[in-house]
Amino acid sequence: MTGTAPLDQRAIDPRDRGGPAQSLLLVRDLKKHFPTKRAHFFGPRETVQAVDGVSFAVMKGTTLGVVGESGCGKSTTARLLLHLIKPDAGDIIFDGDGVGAPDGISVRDLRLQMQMVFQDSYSSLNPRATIADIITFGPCAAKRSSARAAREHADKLLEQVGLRPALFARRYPHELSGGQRQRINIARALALEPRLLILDEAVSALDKSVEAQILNLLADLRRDLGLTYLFISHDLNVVRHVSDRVVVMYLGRIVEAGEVAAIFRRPRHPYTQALMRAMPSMDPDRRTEAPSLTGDPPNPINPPSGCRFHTRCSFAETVCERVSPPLDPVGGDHDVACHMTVPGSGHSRAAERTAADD
Amino acid sequence: MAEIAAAPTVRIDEPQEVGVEPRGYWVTVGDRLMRDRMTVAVGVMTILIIGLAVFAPFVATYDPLQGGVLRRLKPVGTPGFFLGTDETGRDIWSRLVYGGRLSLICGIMPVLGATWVGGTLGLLAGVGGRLLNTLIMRVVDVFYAFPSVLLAIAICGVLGAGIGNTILSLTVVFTPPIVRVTESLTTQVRSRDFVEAARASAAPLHAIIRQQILPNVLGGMLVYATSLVSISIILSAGLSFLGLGVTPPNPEWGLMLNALRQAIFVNPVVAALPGAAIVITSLCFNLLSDGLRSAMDIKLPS
Repeated sequence: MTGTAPLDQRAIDPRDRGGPAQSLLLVRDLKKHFPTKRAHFFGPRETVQAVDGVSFAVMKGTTLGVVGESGCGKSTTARLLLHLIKPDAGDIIFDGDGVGAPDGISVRDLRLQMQMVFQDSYSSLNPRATIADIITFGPCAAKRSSARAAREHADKLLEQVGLRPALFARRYPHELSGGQRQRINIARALALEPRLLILDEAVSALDKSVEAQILNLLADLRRDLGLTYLFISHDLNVVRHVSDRVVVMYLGRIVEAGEVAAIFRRPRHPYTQALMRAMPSMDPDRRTEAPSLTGDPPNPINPPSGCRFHTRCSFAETVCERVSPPLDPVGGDHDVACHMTVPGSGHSRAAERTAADD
Repeated sequence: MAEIAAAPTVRIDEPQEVGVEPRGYWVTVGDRLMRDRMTVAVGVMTILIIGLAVFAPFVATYDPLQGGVLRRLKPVGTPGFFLGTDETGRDIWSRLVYGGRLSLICGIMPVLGATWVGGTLGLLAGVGGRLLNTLIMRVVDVFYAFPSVLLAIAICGVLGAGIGNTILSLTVVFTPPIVRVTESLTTQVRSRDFVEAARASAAPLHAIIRQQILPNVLGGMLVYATSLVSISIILSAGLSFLGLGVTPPNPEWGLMLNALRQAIFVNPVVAALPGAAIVITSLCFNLLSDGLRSAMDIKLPS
């Protein structure tokens, strides 16, 4: 949104390869299908299509927001990006280098430049290690930094995330509050000096006042360190606040992507529209009376044919059941996967809509 | 990303001071152990038993191997032989303290060995892939098919009697359960986010196992291993009783029990003494394991 310094004014990272115009992270057709356990010995082995052909790009120095209800594959995507889970198919290209490609970079090199902050601030910290041990583990184990250098760096990081090293370095995770623990998580992720930070629901478990502090901290860090963020959240208000671009996921696929302003001003996909209507409003005259979306998301083991949203979409027609709509541009930096935005798709509203657009 | 408008004006900073000094996990566990009176008492008792065995030459009143035809099967309380004598006139007290050496070695060594071997295998099964896990765990399952006593007897029977073979056979018996416990603990720990975070930090696997997984598995392993010591003492005494363990005339509690069995109608109290030593010692280790478990079961806020 605002506050993003123009890229040419920022100190150039020596690790930068493609220049500011090249996206820092490019994901093409990422797929992960998990096989389920057989119900009985001769039962069929089914697959959960957790992430099914996801593509997006994150430009340098920007924040990409990823939204969607729980179970839509947001967290799986994050883990696939770091190769914590091996993707079944698809390419991950980091600053022009394919990850695992013959002429690209290794998973290890990728992890040195891309780090993640987890949602559960407690379970993501080793309960038997002190805060200093937690922060220095990565640099010592992966980069072979000397213990002293790593410790000095850890103190600096603690200062940076707003915790006094003298008070916190020797403490254990259970002695800290949720907000403090999430600050430690951020410091740990920053210890390897990454260029891209994946924030997987990093503020979702915090209460609102602490959430605001952490968001401000993240904004400061991004400015000071020239970071790029991939911000995963189910909270639309937060995503709108922090993101430059937004990707909306539904059942393992991207249904809408674009500039944050464009998407929030005029969502085009019925699912995004329903999400927007479900956003709590501060205005008592605009309260949400009826739920905008009913029912649970369908089971990802046997996802609906065609457009995956057709079972809950009020505009669904036969074409939606049969054909899966591609993610196509609808003008400007805005892509939508819906038959209603494609002229001649066979949907009764398609022609009418395009006529209104022109 | 804009600053959140309201936050800078009313910045609710979290309290930075934490009153108490930071304490490590093991310090806390030790503190809780010391407050548990039962465990402290049992601990003192265990140390006493181990101390008697270690300093046997100083606390024994007679040579444990020196018998006498004229002083056979004296009852408890006989002057000079306050716990009586056995069927060849050897002093029971001296034999009990010397016997404690072998019994404790047979109780502790197999468990140490099995913890080393089983712990390594369990960790490997827990962090390794599905193939390695299946390989290790199914082999372990094969060992589970035999009752532990039978397995120990079979191995000792094949290798022959002697303390070394007793320790070896009991190590084999205790390895499978320790593999299972370690594997399940490791699998639990491995799925936690902090291990994912460690993997994401590009650290090599051995560093993740050593610094992230092992410290979180060790506690549970320790509790389980302590509980095995008492079983090991009983099993080794059983092997000696059957003539498969320690060979006579060496004093060992199981062997003494077997020899005094014939005297049970002549002098039942003396005949029961080696059994009492076994019961008390194994009870001590069992209660110690219980106390350790409750001391380590610290409820942490999550």
